[in-house]
Amino acid sequence: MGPVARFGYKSLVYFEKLFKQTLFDCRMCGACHLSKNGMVCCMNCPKGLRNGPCGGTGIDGTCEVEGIGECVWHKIYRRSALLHTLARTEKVKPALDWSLQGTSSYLNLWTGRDGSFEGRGMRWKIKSLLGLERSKSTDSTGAAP
Amino acid sequence: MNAKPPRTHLERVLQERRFSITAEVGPAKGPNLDLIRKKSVHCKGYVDAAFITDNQSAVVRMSPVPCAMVLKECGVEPVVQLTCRDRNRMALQSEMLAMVGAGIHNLLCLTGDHQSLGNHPMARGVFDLDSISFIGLARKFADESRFFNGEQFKGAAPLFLGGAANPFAPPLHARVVRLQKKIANGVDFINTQAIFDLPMFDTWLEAIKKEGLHEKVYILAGIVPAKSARALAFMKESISGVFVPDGLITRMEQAKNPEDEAINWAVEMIHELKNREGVAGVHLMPVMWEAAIPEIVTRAGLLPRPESAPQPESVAVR
Ligand code: SF4
Ligand code: SF4
Repeated sequence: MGPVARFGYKSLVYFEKLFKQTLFDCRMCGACHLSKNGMVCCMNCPKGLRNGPCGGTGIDGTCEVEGIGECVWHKIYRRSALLHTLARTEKVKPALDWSLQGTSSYLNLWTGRDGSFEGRGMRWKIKSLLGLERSKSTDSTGAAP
Repeated sequence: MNAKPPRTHLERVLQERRFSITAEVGPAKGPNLDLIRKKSVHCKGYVDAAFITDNQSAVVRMSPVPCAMVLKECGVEPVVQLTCRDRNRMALQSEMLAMVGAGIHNLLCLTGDHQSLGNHPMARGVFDLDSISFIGLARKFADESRFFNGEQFKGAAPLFLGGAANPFAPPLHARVVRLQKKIANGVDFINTQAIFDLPMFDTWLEAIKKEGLHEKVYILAGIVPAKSARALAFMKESISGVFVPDGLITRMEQAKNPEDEAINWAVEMIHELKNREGVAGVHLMPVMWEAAIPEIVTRAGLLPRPESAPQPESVAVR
């Protein structure tokens, strides 16, 4: 990466962090699930669970860890119900690629580095929607990145 | 879930629709393997398999794989429990290699209690995976002999895989979804959290049955016989995810012989659960009271237990 690209990338990370940390207490995991999880950051769960609540949620919906208050996943389901996005929580999410930590999740979504669109990324999705993508063989493994 | 030949004795018992009975065995809080030998006496001939816990309640204890090996030597079928709290995906896989190498093919995949609940609250929790992706990893490991990264290893590593479910934690919808995800990732059986409140358990079971999940996975219902009213009150206070109704505590307080009453209660629970469609077996978790297992199993009329047949070729010790 050249110095200009590097500066550009760092600025992107800086603004992403500023924006998402302020609004969602983002932990910069690099593979964002906000829109899948009712705009609640699942990495705020003390166990960083990405597929649903653990077995320790109290009967009143509190987290088993003191000081957290409402279980993060309880909140995700509550908010998802409000936003009518419950179906998005029902898909199995792959294990997090920890090498993405600290990188820009927006760029990862664009390039597919976070495994989105079977690793082909948003740029592929947009191209294919615009009909710019030639139908090359797309049998991706669908495996975690 | 009936198509494949059974990989373990426990799987065979469940496939044959014999109401299974299993128990939990906690390793020592010290360099003491003899404890497992002692505890195995309470299990042999009384349970179909014994589950070796992994730093249960986030309290440091002996690692489960060697304990499971000793248990196997003692003639009790072991199930290894592994949590994502203490091990990353690399360590989990090396433990799995060790257990399969030792001829142990039952694995229970757990997320694990948070470290702040145990005796090392200052420890760094790993939580590299969640239990669902752990199950996915283990399925691939077992069926394709592949590591998480896709690399193939030599030799077969058949595994009968379990997961956990808490029927009582809200929201119910999330519990159903989570079980669905575990099934999608290849789980074979499910252990439930300790059941004290049957109506609440029934609500969950109904939700599970509505989705037909009880036909895709064996459900082992958890029962915790507690020695005294104090032990129950303690569990209510300090064990995460356990819900004890006050009625039961009063019942134990009023009992002349609380230990006897606890066994009575456990037997009643077994009879209740046995009559429910979708419950494939019960899992006893007597906290520091393994000696109660034979009495409970005997009084519940669950003896004799099915004989363990010689291991099939594919699973035979290599
Ligand atoms: S899911 Fe990851 S990227 Fe998205 S807000 Fe949470 S930590 Fe940040
Ligand atoms: S109770 Fe909820 S927030 Fe707390 S660790 Fe479990 S899933 Fe995460």
